Amino acid sequence: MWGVKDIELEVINRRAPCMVILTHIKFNHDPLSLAGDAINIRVNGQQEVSVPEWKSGYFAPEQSLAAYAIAETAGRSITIQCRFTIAPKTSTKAWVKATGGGMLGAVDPVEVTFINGVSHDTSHGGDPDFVSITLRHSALGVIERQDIVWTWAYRCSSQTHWHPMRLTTQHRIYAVLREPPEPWSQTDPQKYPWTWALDYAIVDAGTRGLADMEIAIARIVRHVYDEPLQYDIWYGRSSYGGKMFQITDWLGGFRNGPIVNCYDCAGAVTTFATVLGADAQYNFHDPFGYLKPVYPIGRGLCNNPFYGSAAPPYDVPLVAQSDAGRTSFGNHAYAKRSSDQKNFDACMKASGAKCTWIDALLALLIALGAAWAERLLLQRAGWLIALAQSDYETKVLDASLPGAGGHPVVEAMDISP
Amino acid sequence: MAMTVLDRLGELKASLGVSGWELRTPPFIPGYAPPVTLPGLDRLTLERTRLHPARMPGATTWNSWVARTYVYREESTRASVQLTIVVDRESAAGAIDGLLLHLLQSQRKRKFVRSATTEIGDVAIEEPDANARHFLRRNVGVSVEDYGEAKELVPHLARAVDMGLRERANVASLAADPAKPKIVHFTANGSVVEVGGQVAIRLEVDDRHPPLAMSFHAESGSANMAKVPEEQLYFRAGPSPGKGRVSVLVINAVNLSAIAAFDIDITAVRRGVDSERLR
Repeated sequence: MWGVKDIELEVINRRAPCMVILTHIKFNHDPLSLAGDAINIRVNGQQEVSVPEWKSGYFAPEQSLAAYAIAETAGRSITIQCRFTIAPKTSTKAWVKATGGGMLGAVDPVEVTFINGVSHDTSHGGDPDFVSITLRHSALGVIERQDIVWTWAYRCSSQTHWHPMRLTTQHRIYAVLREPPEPWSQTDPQKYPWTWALDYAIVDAGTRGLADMEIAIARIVRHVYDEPLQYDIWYGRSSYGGKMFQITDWLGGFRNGPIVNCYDCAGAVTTFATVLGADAQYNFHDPFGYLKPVYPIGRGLCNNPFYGSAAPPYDVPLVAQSDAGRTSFGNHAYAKRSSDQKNFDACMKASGAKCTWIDALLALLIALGAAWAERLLLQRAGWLIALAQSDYETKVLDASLPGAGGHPVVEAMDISP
Repeated sequence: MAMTVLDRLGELKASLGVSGWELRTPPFIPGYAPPVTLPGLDRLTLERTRLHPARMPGATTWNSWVARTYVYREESTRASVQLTIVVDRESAAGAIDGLLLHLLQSQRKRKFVRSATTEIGDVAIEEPDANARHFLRRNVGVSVEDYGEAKELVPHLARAVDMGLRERANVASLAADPAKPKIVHFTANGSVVEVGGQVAIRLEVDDRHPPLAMSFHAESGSANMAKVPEEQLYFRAGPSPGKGRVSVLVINAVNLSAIAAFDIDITAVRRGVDSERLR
């Protein structure tokens, strides 16, 4: 049943000498660039995000997906391209605008030229049916996933008042820190960043609102470590492909089971950090060595990681620190930032410092917005995040026993859909 | 000195004397999967299976082998054992690499030596420090590992699998064996597509051992599955003109695989082509 407002709108529309309809919106109108428009993305291994991302008949935000790279778009004008139709077809000019838009902002009034009832714009190199519209109020500054709504209106050229299109378009917009590096790609369409991976990295891992890459990776480390997974105490074998990361099985509810190793954790951290634009790389460290007492993912305090398959007396997680008969890591894998060589490891946690007033102070500083305080607090709690190689080894590696001596080597990462 | 997995594979092959293994010539075994109930092991329940990645990181070609792990548990004792089967679709070379890579893909320091006996398999690899059995019979690699309380189960399962392999009829060539999935058609609905354009893919596979697992790899574009109006495979050309390529790997339940590929020319877009598609 129509309300009074609807009837009023209908009367206004009937009085209008023209009627404009929005039919399509392109966010990623230039797949070769990510400075002035959205980046190339996919949904998952099987589903692409086709352009135009929005078409008439789409009602849910998850039907219309787009992602932006904050660093590459900083200081640049972001444009979208829209296709409109007008009736009667003899009309040649009209104005359009949209309110709302969340982080992409409202669409300022723009005059649209029509030819044969279809919008026409040759100012860009693409399809002339699409009108280039600059988003002058976009605010991309932090990692985000936001469902936005634009409420569209038009004004016929001979009139002064605006008519609602009776159309709101809904879109799910992602913002990442910069172009996602390997294993993702902007040139290989099969490796465009997945929105499934973005959902995990932004929503599940709680990186929404962050501008600090280090803290974003730290939160991914924390989230991966807190997943319902357990370290393989028998062989330390990978279940999710490690550097050939079986992302669909991981995101599909850990379909390969709950037992993982460090390769899997390093693969997960690298995959989900890089999808946010972080410069994380998969590093393989062979030989590694004996562990100090640490908490392997899903396990208790342990300095004898393969107690599941070791003969007595080494069939327990914790043995004398000086005992060289205990099991050790033959090799290890973790993520490392390429820019500052800091390590991030979600496979284990070191023993944390005793909770003191320092932690309370750091928590207060975090509440006040000091990102560095979160790093310190997490490190004090034993999280292996943002650590220089020597600090990392000091926390986890028992160098007093033979076996250590290797150093990390960057290895190519890939995803296995 | 830092080592990569491939460095370690080379070392292990040398230490085991792989070059002297006489497995590369026929006959071959036309695939293998453990039966639902293994002889004498009816208390074991198959908890899950796990297909291993079918490519090496960054590689554009498929491995010639398929590796699949079967995770078993004995509910009454909570004993757990993992059986990994590696099957090469061509000969034994890939099965050797696949099995050895599987053994190396662990963080525990492990010691492997060639077994002097032929109690199981054509070639057996001993692991003195673990309750595990690893062997190759022709083009099939097998690894059985104790994942808790499976002391007697491991040798029992290994013998049962080897018995099953010996009972399978051998073939002189795997190329056209009927147990192997046969890719009858893998073509694009056209040999040319414009930048950003899409073209339907026709895939038809004959197979006697369902279900099939499929993986696609595309270059200069992407292989996709349309959900509506009905499931339809298609290739979406990337943003640059050139040569596109799509390859498919299909794996059946007995871990035999087949591959196929097609090339497609990607041409520059005509002005206005988007609108033609939209109308």
